[in-house]
Amino acid sequence: MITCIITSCEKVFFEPEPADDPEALFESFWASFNENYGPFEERNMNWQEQYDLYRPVISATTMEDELYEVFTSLLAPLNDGHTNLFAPGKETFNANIYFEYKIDDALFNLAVIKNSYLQNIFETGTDDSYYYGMIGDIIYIHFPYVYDNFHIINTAIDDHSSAKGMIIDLRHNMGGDFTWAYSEMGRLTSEKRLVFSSKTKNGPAADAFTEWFDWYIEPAGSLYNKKVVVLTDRYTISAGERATMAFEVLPTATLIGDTTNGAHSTMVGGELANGWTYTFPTQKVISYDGNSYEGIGIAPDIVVKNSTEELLSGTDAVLDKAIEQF
Amino acid sequence: MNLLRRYKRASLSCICFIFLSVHCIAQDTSLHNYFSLQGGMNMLKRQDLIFSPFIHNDISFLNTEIRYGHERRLRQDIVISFSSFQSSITGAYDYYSDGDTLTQFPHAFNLIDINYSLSKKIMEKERLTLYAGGSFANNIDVMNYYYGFASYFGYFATFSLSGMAQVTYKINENSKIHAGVSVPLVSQVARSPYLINDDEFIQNNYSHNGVKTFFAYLADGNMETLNHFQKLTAEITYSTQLSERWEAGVQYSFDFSHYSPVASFTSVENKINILIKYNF
Repeated sequence: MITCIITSCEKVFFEPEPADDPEALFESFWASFNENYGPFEERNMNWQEQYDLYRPVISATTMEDELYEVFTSLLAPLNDGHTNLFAPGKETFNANIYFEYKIDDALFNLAVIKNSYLQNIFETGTDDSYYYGMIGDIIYIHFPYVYDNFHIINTAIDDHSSAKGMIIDLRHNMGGDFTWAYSEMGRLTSEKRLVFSSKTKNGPAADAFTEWFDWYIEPAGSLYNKKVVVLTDRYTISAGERATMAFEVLPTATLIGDTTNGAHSTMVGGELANGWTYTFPTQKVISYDGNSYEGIGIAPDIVVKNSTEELLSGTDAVLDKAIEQF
Repeated sequence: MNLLRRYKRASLSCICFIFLSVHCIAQDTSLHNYFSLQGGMNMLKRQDLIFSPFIHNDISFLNTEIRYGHERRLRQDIVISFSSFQSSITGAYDYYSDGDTLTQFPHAFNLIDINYSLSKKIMEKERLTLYAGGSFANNIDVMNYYYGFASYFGYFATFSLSGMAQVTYKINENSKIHAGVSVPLVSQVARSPYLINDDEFIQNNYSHNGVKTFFAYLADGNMETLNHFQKLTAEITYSTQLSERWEAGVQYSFDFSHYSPVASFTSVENKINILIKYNF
């Protein structure tokens, strides 16, 4: 009797699960984005048109490989670095053309920096969390991601108080948790500065978002007002871009390199009945100037791109331009 | 009299007092306290629509519980339990990224319960004893959901004032059955935001301090009653006396939780534990 009661309660309280057939998989995948994807408008995407285009090619007999191809075709026009698809035995699909096709990926080479600029004298954080050294009397730090590694900024300031300034290299920065960066940048500003505002999907309706939430950097500690040059490229993404936004509002900072990726939202995940998993963004983000650069990226003050030939000869033109600023 | 001599006299007096107290207590042959250790199998069935539309199932033997109880005029019980689970829809699998082989990990669920109950004997009849009272039931679920290379922390925490009843039935001089049931009447419920994270959630993490973050999560919760949060905890234990102070037994317990606002949460646990109990 107890088992019957329990089983009946379970049927009442558990929600029905999506089915595992190809058509149900397509429907639940499309609906998940339809209800939860934040920046359709910013990416000029009519998601219903995508449904109308691809739903007809799915049937009960669609094979797994074909279904995977349809899903990647469905996602590709978003051109979104926060949108990924994972499936057994498959290469990860990233909907952004730079990450998916590795465009300009080779135009950043840390080995060139270590050998030619840092003279192989540098400090590496735990698990390669940063690369920190001196280029002449200029502090240089590369961050491959954004996390508690940003504490090295304040360490560098204290260790080299007589340096002319610092170069923060956020090229090929894969993101992480921007709050660590913001909490370590207090010495770089003398006043509270608005960096960006964001709002998050909080319901299935297209206009269901939270209120706008403002993010600031605030002064903390003794002010460091020397020049800061920030390097970016198309692989500066997510929290790497939010960190770039914070540097952008500093009067002492100059951005050099290439436009960032343009994926400014937070990213969440989902799963399908066949075990495939995926990620997608859920927010709208506007910069301190009131504009959204989602899908566009943050343009540098000085545009410089490396070439393969220069890198092979041990020259990083972007870094050379940064050094010229001091 | 110098300080050192006063100190020695005070220390000796304390030692004598403690010795006599323990000796007096030891002369009381009634065993008013117990301590028990339990472990066994926990079967979890769980659906949290914030993270996934699917029901995650697992059977775990990483399940343990300690209890302390005291009874004189009132009965008090403290229960601390921990269970750990892993679950995925299809099982772990490999996928690739830039030449590396990566693994789609199962989701991880860690469940912690800390309960305090206070009850009074309301009926005693031959072999049957009935208790009624209340409990302060605290449940914290800590989750990690994995979607490819992205992983997300999640939580579901409830702090409840519950009504409870317990009954003990003596089968014979050496064996008894003990059963209990509790239902929360009012609860502080805190859980991850809709769609896993939002700006408020990120702001809660800004201190990067575990304790501050935990209390910030709780402060974002809501006071709920039975209309939004339903929970039922029930257990039945058979125990037998091994000696004057030692008991052994087996226990079945059931825990059902359902929270309905926005994206619903439903969890069912069925535990079968063996226990060893020391009465003192």
